[in-house]
Amino acid sequence: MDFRYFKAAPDAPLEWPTSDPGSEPDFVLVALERTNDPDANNHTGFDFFGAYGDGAVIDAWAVNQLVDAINAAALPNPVTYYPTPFNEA
Amino acid sequence: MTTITPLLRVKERIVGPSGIYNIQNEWYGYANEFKYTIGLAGLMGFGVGCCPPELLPGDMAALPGTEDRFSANYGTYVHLPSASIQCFVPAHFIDVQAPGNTDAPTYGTKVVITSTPTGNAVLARPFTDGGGNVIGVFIDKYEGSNTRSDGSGAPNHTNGPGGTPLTNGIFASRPLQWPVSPVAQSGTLYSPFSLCNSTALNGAATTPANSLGGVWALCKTRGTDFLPCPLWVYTQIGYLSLAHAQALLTVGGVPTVNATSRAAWMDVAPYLPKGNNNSNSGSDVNKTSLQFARTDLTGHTSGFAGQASRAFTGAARVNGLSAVEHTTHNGQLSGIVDVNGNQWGIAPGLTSVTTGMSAAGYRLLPSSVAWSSIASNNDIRAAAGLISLAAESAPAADDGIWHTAANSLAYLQPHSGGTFHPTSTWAANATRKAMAECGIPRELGTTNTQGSTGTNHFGGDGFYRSLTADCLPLVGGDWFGSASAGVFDRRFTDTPSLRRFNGARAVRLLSA
Repeated sequence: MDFRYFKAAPDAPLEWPTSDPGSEPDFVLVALERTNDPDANNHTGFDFFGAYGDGAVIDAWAVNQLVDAINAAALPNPVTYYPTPFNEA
Repeated sequence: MTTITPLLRVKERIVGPSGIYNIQNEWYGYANEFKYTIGLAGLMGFGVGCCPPELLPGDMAALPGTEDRFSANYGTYVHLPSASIQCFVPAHFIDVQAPGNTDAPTYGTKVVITSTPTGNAVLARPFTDGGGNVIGVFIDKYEGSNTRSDGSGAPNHTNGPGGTPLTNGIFASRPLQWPVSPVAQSGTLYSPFSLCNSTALNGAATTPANSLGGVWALCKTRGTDFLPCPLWVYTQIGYLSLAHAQALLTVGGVPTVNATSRAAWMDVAPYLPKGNNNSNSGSDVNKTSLQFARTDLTGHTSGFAGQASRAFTGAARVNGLSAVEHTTHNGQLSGIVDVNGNQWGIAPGLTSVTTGMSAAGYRLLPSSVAWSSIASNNDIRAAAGLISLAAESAPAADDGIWHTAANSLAYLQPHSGGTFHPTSTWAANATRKAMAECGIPRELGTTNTQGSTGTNHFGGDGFYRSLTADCLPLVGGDWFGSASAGVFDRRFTDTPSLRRFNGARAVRLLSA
C-alpha cells in the first residue's frame, strides 16, 4: 500500500473517488485537515489530504486535480485528523 | 361583591430570520400552541415539535424538556416498552421554489416551510397516508440497534456495547449503540437484523431476514405501529435542513452572526448536517475535527461498531467532547442524529418494475394507500393507484426521469428552474411531484467532480443512477463515501435480497 499527501486551497473542487460497497477501491482519499474548520488544530490557509492505495493510480488522479503533492513531514503538526492507516505508515 | 377578572388570551407573532431569500418567516397564534408546529426556520426548535398530549400514544412519554423549545429534548419522546427515543415532526407545508439562478450559495433551490398553507405550498408527503392526513410523524432519533427486550434500552450484547450481539433482541433507537445491518458474519460477527427477533412487544413479529428487504420485519419487532422510514420522510428531513440553512444565511450568502447557535453545522460549508463520511476514516470530510471513534464505549481498540469506521449511534465528538448536534437535521441537540453518512439508510416506498426496467419503470406508492399495509416491494407494486413515473420525453424536457445510463454516480446539478421541481409545477405533472418528494433531482448531473458545479450547497450529494429492477432505495451515504454522502444523497441500485452494511430507522405515523 502506498501513501501520498496533498495540500490544496480551501474547499477546492476535488474529484473524489467514488466507491461501491461491493468493490475494493483503487485508492482512498481522506481529508486530514480543513483550514476553515474552526475546530481544526491549525489554520494554515490550506486544506490537507492523504491518500492510500495504488500509488500509480493516486499519482494519475492527482495530475488532474487542484492539489500540490507534499510529503508527510510537510503536514501541519499536529494535523487535525490522522487516522489509520496513516498513523501506522 | 366578587370581581371577576377575565383571562385574556392574546395572540402573538413570532418572527424568524428572513434569510438569504428575504422570506416572510413568521407565525401568528397563541404562544402556547407554537410548540405543536414545525417552528420557524432559523430559530431554536425548528424541525421538530410537540405531540398534542391528548393524541400521544399511551405507550409513549415525554422527556424532561420535551415542551421546552430550547431544550436538547424538545420534541423528543420515548417509546416506553423499547426505550426507543423518537423525534416528533409535526405536519407542515412545503414550497419548493426556483429562484431562477444557479449561483452560490443556494444553487437554484429555495425551500419555504410553513405550518399553514400559503402560496404554492402543499402539505408535505409524510403527512398524508391512507387517503387521510397525518398529525405528525415520530421518527427514530438514532439509527436502530439491537436492544434487550426488557424495556431497559440496554444493548443486547455480551459485555456491553462492544460485546457480541445476542439473539432475542428488539430493534430500537438508542444512543451510543451498534447500529444493525443485514450482514451476519464475514470473518467477524456483525450486528445483523436477524438477531432482533424477540416477540415480546409484538407477538406477530417474525425474524427479519438478513437482507435489505428484512427492514419491514425488523421494525415490527418494536410493535405493530412501527414501520420503516419511507423515502419521502427522509427527503423531507433534507428539505427541513435546507430551509433551516437558507434562513441562517444573509442575503449576501454568509452565515448570520448567531447562525451556529441555531445550527451547529453552520460553522463550516457546506451548510448542511455533517457526518461520518470521510473515506473510511471516522470523521467528516468537510469538518475533520468532527470525529466518530468512541473507544471508551466499545471495549475494542477500533472505536467503531464491528466494522472499520462505522460509528456507534450518536458518536460524534470534537476534541473529545460530544458534538452530536453537528450531525442532526436541524443542527441542534433536539434533531434527528446521523442523517449524513455512517450507514446508508434503507428507504422503501419507491421501487421499480421487475421486468423491462427503464427510466419509466419507477413506481411510487400513492398517499391514498396506508404505509402500514405495505410489507415489501411487491406490496408497493400491487397497490391500488400506483404512481408510474414518466421517462423524460427529451433531454432537458423537464418532464420525467432523465437517466438512461446505469450504475454511475453524478452529483446534483443546480438548475435555473430549480434543482428539484418547484411545487408550483406539481399539480400539472405527477412525475414532477414524485421526483421532488423522493429527492430525485430535476436534471442529470453532468459531472462527478465534487464542487465544480456548485454542488457544495448540497454537500456534494450524489445521485447513484441505476436501472435496477426491484430497486429498494438507500439514502444518506456511508462512512466510506465522502464522494456521496449527505441528506440528499440517493442510491437506486440495490434490491431487497442484498446484504450490505445498511441501516434503518422506524417511524410511527400519528393519524388525524
